[in-house]
Order: sequence, then C-alpha cells, then structure tokens
Amino acid sequence: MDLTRFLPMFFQETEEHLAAMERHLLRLDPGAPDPEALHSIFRAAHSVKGNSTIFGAKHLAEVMHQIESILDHVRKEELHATNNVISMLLDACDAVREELRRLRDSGETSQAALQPVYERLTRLTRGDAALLGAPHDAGAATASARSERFRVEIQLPAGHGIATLPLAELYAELGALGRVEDVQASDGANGAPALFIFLLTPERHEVVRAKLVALLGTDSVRIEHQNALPHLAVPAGDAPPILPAHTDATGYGLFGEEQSALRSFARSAGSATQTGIFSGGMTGRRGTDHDLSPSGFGRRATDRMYFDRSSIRVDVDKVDRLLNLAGELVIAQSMLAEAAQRSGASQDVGLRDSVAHVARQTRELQEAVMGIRLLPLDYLFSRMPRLVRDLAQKLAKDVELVTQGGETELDKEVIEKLADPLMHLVRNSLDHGIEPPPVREAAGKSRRGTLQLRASHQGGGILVEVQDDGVGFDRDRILRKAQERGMPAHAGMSDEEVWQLAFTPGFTTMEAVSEVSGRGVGMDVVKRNIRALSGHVDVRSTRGEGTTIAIHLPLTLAILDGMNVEIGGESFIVPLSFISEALVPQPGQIKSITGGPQVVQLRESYVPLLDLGPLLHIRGEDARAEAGIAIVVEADGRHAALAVDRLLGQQQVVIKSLEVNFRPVPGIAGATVLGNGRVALILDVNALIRAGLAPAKNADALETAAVSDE
Amino acid sequence: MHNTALNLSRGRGTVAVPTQEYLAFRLGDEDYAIDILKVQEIRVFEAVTKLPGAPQHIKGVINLRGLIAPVVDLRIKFGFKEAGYGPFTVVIVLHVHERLVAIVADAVIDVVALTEDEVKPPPEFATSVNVEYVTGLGAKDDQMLIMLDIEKLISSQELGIFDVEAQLP
Repeated sequence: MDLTRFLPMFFQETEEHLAAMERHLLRLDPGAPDPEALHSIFRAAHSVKGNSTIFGAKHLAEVMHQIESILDHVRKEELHATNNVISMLLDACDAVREELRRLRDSGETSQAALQPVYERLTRLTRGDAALLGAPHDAGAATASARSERFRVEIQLPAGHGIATLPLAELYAELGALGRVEDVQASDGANGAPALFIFLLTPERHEVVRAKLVALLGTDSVRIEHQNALPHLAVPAGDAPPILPAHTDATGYGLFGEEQSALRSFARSAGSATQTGIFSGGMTGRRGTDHDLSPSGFGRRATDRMYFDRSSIRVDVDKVDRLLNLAGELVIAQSMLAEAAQRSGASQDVGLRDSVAHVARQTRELQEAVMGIRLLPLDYLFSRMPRLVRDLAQKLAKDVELVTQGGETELDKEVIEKLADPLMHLVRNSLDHGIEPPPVREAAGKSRRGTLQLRASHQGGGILVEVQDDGVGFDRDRILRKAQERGMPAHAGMSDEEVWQLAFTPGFTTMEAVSEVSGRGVGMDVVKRNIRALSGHVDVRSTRGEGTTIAIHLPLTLAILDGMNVEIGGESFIVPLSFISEALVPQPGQIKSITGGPQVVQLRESYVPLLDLGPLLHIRGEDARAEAGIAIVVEADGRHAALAVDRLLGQQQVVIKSLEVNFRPVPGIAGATVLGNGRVALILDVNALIRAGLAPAKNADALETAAVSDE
Repeated sequence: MHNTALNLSRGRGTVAVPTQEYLAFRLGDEDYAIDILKVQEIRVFEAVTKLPGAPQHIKGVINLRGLIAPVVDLRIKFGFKEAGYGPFTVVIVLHVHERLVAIVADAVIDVVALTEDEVKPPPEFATSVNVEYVTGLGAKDDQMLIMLDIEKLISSQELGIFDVEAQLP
C-alpha cells in the first residue's frame, strides 16, 4: 500500500498530537499530576509512535516510546513529574517536531539530532535520579495500592459477537471508574463468547457491577477480585534503581505491540481489521484508539477540539468555493429583489414576503458558510503557555499566564496571521512589561506577574487583548527617545499619541538589545500586520500598573466593512477601518501649497488632500469635482484626505481577488461584487497615501510607490 | 444577466477525417477562429469596471458568478479603427492557463469543424507583431477564418494580463 499520499495527513496529525502533548504538559501540576492529563499526553504520544512506525520513522517512534515509559512511571507515581521532567518531555516534543519539519521539508532524517534527547529520556526511564532535579519521594510509589483489581467477565449469548456490545460506552464507563488494565476476548470454547476486562478501581464490587448491568442490560456479568497484583519487574543492577523498568505488559495494555488480545478484540469488533493501526493513529477521530482504549477514560471537554469525531477535515478550497457560491446567491437574491421592486410586483404581498424570506435565508446561509472557516482562538492561545514558560525561565521572571475567551472564533486566515503579532506582544510584555520578582516586590506588587490573553466579541468584530501588570509604558522615555530620533514629539501630546510613537518602525526604548526583544523591529510590524488584517491596535498603559494592548479584528478576511464612494462615475470601496471621518470641505477649507498640492484644514491641523481621479487615472487633473467630499484616512501613522465625488453608503462587501484571473493593480486591494452584479474595486489606502504623498507626483506615482514598497 | 450566458455544447460526434472544432467570431470586418476547447461561455457585453492604470485594450473587469475576470478588447490591441459596443457585442470567456479571461467580439459566427486540409499555413508577413499569434488561415465555404493561438496571445507579455513580472523576486 502506498503510504505517501497519507504523508501530509501524517505530518498534520502528528503536529496536532504534539501540540496536544505540549498543552497538557504545560498544565501539568508537578505536585499532583492530573491522571486525565497524563492519559491525554500518553494517548497523543502513542498515536505519534504508531504513526511514525507506520511511516518508517523508527527513530521518532523510539523517542515516543521513551516518553510513554516516563509517563507510565509518572502515572504509577513511581516518578515525580518535576519541572525538570516536564521540561525534558517538552524538549523531546520540540526535537520531534523539528525532525518532522526536516522530514517534511527536505525528506531527510537526522537521527543525530534526536540522539541527545533520546539518551536523556532513556537515562530517566532507567532511573537516573540526577535528572529529576528534585529529591525523589520514594514513599509515593504505593498510592495505587488503595485500588483493587477486578476481573470482569461479560458473557454473551451464543452466536453473539463481541461487536454487539456497546464497546465505546463500556470503556468510557469503566474508565470513569478506574483504569482498565487489560482486555481479553474469548471465543468461548463452550459456545458462549465472553469478554474479560481487568479493572483497577477504588470503587467497590457492587458499584462496578451495578454500572455494568445498567449499561449492558444483562446480568451475565461476573466480577472477581484479583488480589494477586502482578509484580513489577525490577531489573537487577548494581545500584538499586529508582524506577522499575517499563514493561508494556504492566502499562496501558493497548500500547504493547504484542497485545494481541486487544488486537483480535478490535478485529472482532469489526471496525478495524486491516487498518487497525491506521485507524488508531492516522484517523484518530474515527479510529479505535480513543474509543476502544482499554484505559478508556472518556473524552473530556478539553480534548474535544482535537479528538471530536464529529469533525471532518475539509480542504479550504472547497469551503472557499462554497463561500463564493453563497456570496453569489446573496447578489442574485438582491438583484431579484431589485427586479421585483422595479416591476411593481412588490405590491403583491405574497411575492414581497417570499422575496424577504429568501433574503433572510440567503444571508443566513452565507453566515453559516462563513462560520465554517472560523476556528477558536485557542488554536493560538494554546501556543502561548509554552512561550511564556520558556521566556519567563530565560528572563528569570515569575509569570502566570491567564487566557480567557479562547473559544472565540475567528477566520482561519486571520488566526494564522495573528500568530506572529500576538507572540511578539507576549514576548514584549514579558521582556519589557513584567518586572523581575525582586523589583515587583519592592514596588509592592506580588512576585508573580500576570499576563492575560483575552478574546471577546465586540461589535461586528473580535477584540484580542494582551494585558500585563508590569511596569507600563514610560511616557517620558518614549518622548525623549522620539525626540532624539527627530520624530515629531512634544510634551503636550496625549498619552494615546505617545503610545503610538512606540509603533514607529525602528523605535525602541531599550538601552541594550536583548535576545528576546529590543531591536525596535516589532511594534511597527505588529501594527502593520494587524492593519493588513483590516484591524487596528490600541494601547492603554499606566506607569507602574501595566499595559493593555487591544487588537481589534474583523471576524473574517472574506468580508470587509467598507464605504462605497463614487469617483468619476465609478464605484469604489474604501475599507472602513482606515476612515476616521468624512467631511464636505467648505471653500475656504482647501488651500493649495506653492500653487500645487492641496491641503484640507481639519480643526487645528492640515491634511494633504489627494484627488483620486488622476491618481487612479479616472479623470484628468483639471476635471476635479468642486463640491466633493473629503474622506480622512489614516495609514501607517500618516493622514490624508481622499477627495471623492459622492458617498454611496456603507456596506459589507465580500472581498474577491483580482489576481486569480488577472494581476495585482497598484492602488487597488481587491474587488467585490455589488448588489447590482457589477464589480467595484477596493482601494488600497496604504498604497494610495504613499503614492499621493510621494515626492514625484506624476502619473506613475502608484507604480513607483508599489515598487518602493517591496 | 446570467441567463444570457450561452453554454456551448462541446463535441458534436465523431467524424472520420481528423477535425478540430473552432469558435468563429468577428472582430470588425475580420473573422477569427479559436480552439473551442478554450472557450468557457459567451455572454452579452455588459458594463465593465475600469481598472486604474490599465492599458487601453484591457477594458476592465466583470463579475463571472463571483469570480473577477479581466476583459480584453483585441480590436484595440490589433489597432482597429473602430471599436464600438452595440447590442450584438459579446464577450467570449476563455479558460486559459487556469485563468478566466474574457475577450470582446463584435459577433459570434458559429462553431466550425475544420480538417487539417482546410487550414492553410499563415502568409509570411513580417510587418505585424500580431501575426505571430496567427497559426493559419482556415477556409470554409468561401469564408476565410484567421486561426488564432488564443492561449499564446492571452498569456503574452505584451497583452499584460498575466503578471509576468510578479514571477521575479
């Protein structure tokens, strides 16, 4: 069987499993590791191991195997999940991820890169106490002795296969009671097939029985105590090892490659025959791994995002096509409504109602389709604990990360493009914002700083906030630095204006460049990236109390709030996110400078007036509409007024690419289809301002600006 | 508007002599023929949205069921004196190199099947660049058809539809 076509899936799934491992590892409390979390990590590690084996990446499988062993020891409380151990596991995840990327990008493996990680893990599983980093509490190893071991026998009527049992529920139920250690199926030599389950649980005999009877609706269930605990193999050695050697037989049962009982069981369950391994790993959502896992703790809410079998993986192109069609339907519908209106048929109440109904349904359909592209922000937030942890360690700071609203959904594309700015802001907060513990203490704050990541719906968009309780922006210092750099800064500026200075390219207040940040490339990139997403960034900061950076984003990139304007008889869309105001300039309000460029007086300042007619080659310089409207826009900190003929109204438009069938057009960000079926161009305000304010104001200003933008 | 789009039926059965089907259309006084397989549909000419800074022969863009496609007027490109737009003006939507490009035509004549014999090599003019896209002259019922390599023409750099420069860093 040719596996190569599954490779992309392998990479993606493995990446997800690694992310899940990381997520749970970061949440793991070293003092009292949550068995559920451990199990989730284990499950993910096992899937990676399985998949790696299938695809011949043996070295990855071996690393994963060691991770499994360690987890198993932790689970059995034979090993403390000290911070060192967690770090080691995280490092291992990183190494595996890197190796995966190498494999994916170049197809080359590098066993050597994994070797150090592998060796450390192996030493740990062998019980090298030096790696634990904290004194090992030998007394903890006996905690599981409180549980009792039962052998549950479920007898089936002759002729009934094991597949007739509600297996998934069975395992979920038993998993909730305790740990399923092994499963064996017997074909029943005497004609009655039976299923044997070895369960370790603190519950009493009657409780287990009652559960099973309730679930199976049969009382042919026999439960026996099994007090003979299988002895853990203790390897002989010179030094008494801290840990017993990991053996699969005493582990999670499923994970031993030779656990043929389960294998045959899975086979008899009919769901996974030839592809048993595959469904266990590759298509974990549908597969046997989670449902039939003998230790089958039920799925938990936290896992749902990754393991929910009710989700499907769909090519984004398909979704976009659907979105296109829905958008077309909306246009067709509005043309229908217009036609009905024109023909006078709208007097007909029945027709009018139908048209209104279709309108509603079409919009709902469009929204629903757009909803497919939305992903929870947790996709992004879940990467942050790792970043914060590593950075805090590096910077010797004590930081608690609090995330909120991770379930808020955003367009996949927005989420992807938000990753870098968000990571940058988090990095900034840790580096510049939150103070080292002694400093915080001296300032009367708690030693531990708090970094909050919050997301919420606001208006028609999303608000993502990064808040720290650190030192806050230093107004005086920013002003001084700005003045030193010759930027227009003065003491009379409002706080908001001062904070915006920090978003200027190359601006930094750091005296020394650190490894983490301070090079001054950053805040401006953040702002530019957010702007590229048609969003904007606000800063609130109080000296000594902390900083909040608020990112306002549209729900999706496929839709844009725009102002429909008319220039020279053509409709254009100006993205609303750029517009600060619109005004009808009075005759005295427009002044020309040295007879050429014009400015509009806007309260106490003058804003350059850009006539879009010649800039967009729509009409000549002389044909300027006298009683036009000036739309004041802001981009990259520069203001300008765009002269347009008329405002046609505000509307949401579906963004279409010009480049699919044509090529990029300078000054134009894209196109959309209006309600009348005609195409309207969306203005690229950034480029227009650059071109309009370019020194050489000629017909090719746009092209020139576009080139210099590269 | 959409119901005016005419979808062409392709493949009219098999003929013994190897023939190829072409769409014949008129530009000014000249009749042209292009490979029918490159044609997606034919629509009436509707108002286009102009593109700032585009060369004259690129009339603008139209909405093709949610996709934005450029409209090229080859009459302007070929230097015709008159390039008017009347009720019979049509646009032929072509599918070229994974892209949709519409060309303006004064009229669509027919779908014609030509055998190899019916296509004569093009005369050797060295005067016009545009001749380079003429693959031959087709003769059918006393009619002369100018056979165009429409794919080559549409993707040519001088037409400026495809962003050749964008390929460069």
